[in-house]
Amino acid sequence: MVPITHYLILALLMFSIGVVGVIVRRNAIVVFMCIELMLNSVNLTFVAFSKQWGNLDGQIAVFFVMVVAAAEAAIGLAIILSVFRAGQSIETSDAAELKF
Amino acid sequence: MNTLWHDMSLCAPALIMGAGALVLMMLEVLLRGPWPRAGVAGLFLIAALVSTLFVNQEYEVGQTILQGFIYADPFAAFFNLLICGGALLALMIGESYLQREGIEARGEYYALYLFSTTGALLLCNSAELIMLFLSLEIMSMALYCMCGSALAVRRSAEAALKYFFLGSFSSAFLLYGIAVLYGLTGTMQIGAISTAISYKEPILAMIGVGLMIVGLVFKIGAVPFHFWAPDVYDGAPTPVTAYMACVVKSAAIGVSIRILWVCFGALFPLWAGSVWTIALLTMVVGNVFAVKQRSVKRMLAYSSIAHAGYIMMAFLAQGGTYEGGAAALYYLVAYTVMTLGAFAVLLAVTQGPGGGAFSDDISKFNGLGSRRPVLAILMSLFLLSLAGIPPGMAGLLGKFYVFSAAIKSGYVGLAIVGVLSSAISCFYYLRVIVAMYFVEDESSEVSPVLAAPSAYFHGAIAVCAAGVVFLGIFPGWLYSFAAQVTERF
Repeated sequence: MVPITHYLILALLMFSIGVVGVIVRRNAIVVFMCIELMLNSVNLTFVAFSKQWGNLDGQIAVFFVMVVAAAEAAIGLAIILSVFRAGQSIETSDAAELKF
Repeated sequence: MNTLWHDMSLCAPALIMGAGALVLMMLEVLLRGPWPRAGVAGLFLIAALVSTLFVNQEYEVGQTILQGFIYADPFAAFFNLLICGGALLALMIGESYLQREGIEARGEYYALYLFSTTGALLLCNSAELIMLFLSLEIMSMALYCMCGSALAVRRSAEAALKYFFLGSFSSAFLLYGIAVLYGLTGTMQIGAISTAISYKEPILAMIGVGLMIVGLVFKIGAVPFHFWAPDVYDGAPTPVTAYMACVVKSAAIGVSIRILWVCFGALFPLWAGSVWTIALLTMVVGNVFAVKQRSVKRMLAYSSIAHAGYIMMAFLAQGGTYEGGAAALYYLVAYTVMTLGAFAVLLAVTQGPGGGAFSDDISKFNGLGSRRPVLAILMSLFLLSLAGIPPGMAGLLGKFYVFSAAIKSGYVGLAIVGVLSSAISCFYYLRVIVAMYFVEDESSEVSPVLAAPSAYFHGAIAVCAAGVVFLGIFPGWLYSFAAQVTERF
């Protein structure tokens, strides 16, 4: 059996990749994918802990997180589209009309 | 079955609000032509507010309903009232603006508004961490759309994009924190976590608490997770900004108090240091950056960051006393009425987002004292109260309560920084007052006569002004109510 730490380390790696991606990448779609990656790494953590504790709370949480991720995709793509319409670009660095 | 009905009736405010959102969406499909969307949304908000008054009597300390997913305790009751009331006032001040800018005409705005308020209500009542995450997302996702609701305006779309990315980014951190806490304790009920959490696994506990704090502090808009706030507040349509600055911030602060004091109450030494640092940075950075703003809207955005810092100072004054809680809640109510009032005047004076970057410039306030004397007097009252200068007693007393709670808990240094930074804040608040009374309106173009604000608007601004005056003269009842609410969770 694979020990729980393996799952946790994998999830942590995925989460870190997502965080770095959000910070480094400039394309709105890629940034959005990185956020989804973060959410899914949390899902993996939930399932691993759920297995360890022997209760279903964590697995149920995963369903809710998936629903939230789907809703986020719908809203996120709509917002990206409206930005594209307003400025013909989805590079986040081009969205710089608002500054200190 | 009986308990189910009983539990549902205790959730009446959130249920009415959610039902209202669905009804508005259906009516939008069924009705052709213009119809009073704001009026219908307002009726649902009033219904929710009235139902809050009724169900509040049944809210008892430590009571959870719906299988332990929702709190029905006095703290939840307090926030139900504050959020319903704040949302109603924010709706009333923004209504004529939204009509003028054509945002209302597309119809979905008020449905989103009610969805977002439903999320805010549930957020303060959630007794389970997944419930907390879901209500946070209900609140935020509706808000992302509201920020981008001025579709033709690039700034609005940009604000929505920024808020969406940074909001989901921070939600992921919050969620990771929830997962770690679940791994630590095997449960997601806030009450159960508070007893199960301990120093046995200090590293995991630190990671879980830290990630949760990052997520919550982001929603409050405190430094160093504030960088989204000025841009989003600036780019969003002004009524949305007012709503965000008051209702959303109140909900985020409410849930943070609950999480920090109930869920992590046993780990106070673990998070005290980070909250201390965040409160300090928030007060200083918020006030210093507000000084250089020309846009009054952006200035109010930084000022709301700074006020979050004062309230966070009260988070630390837990120590078994109720003073911190009473101070934080009093401050929150005072902050809500004075900020809504200031935004109401801003809405009446400035143009919509189509006016470009300078539509909220401070020069729009030049000579307001002679052009619109009543508005100018009210704006002075709100700004003096935000600055904490008499006769703005509500803000002054709020600051006094927060600082004295901090000093009694031994955070003298933090209180001194708070006093100094609020001295800085006087500068930028008074600058607007100076512009209103001592600077002539030199612009040759007669400032466009904006569509006369509706009776709703006048009602709301009168309520805000009355609230500031009343809270300043009779602070006792609210303070003791807030003390009762936070004395025992």
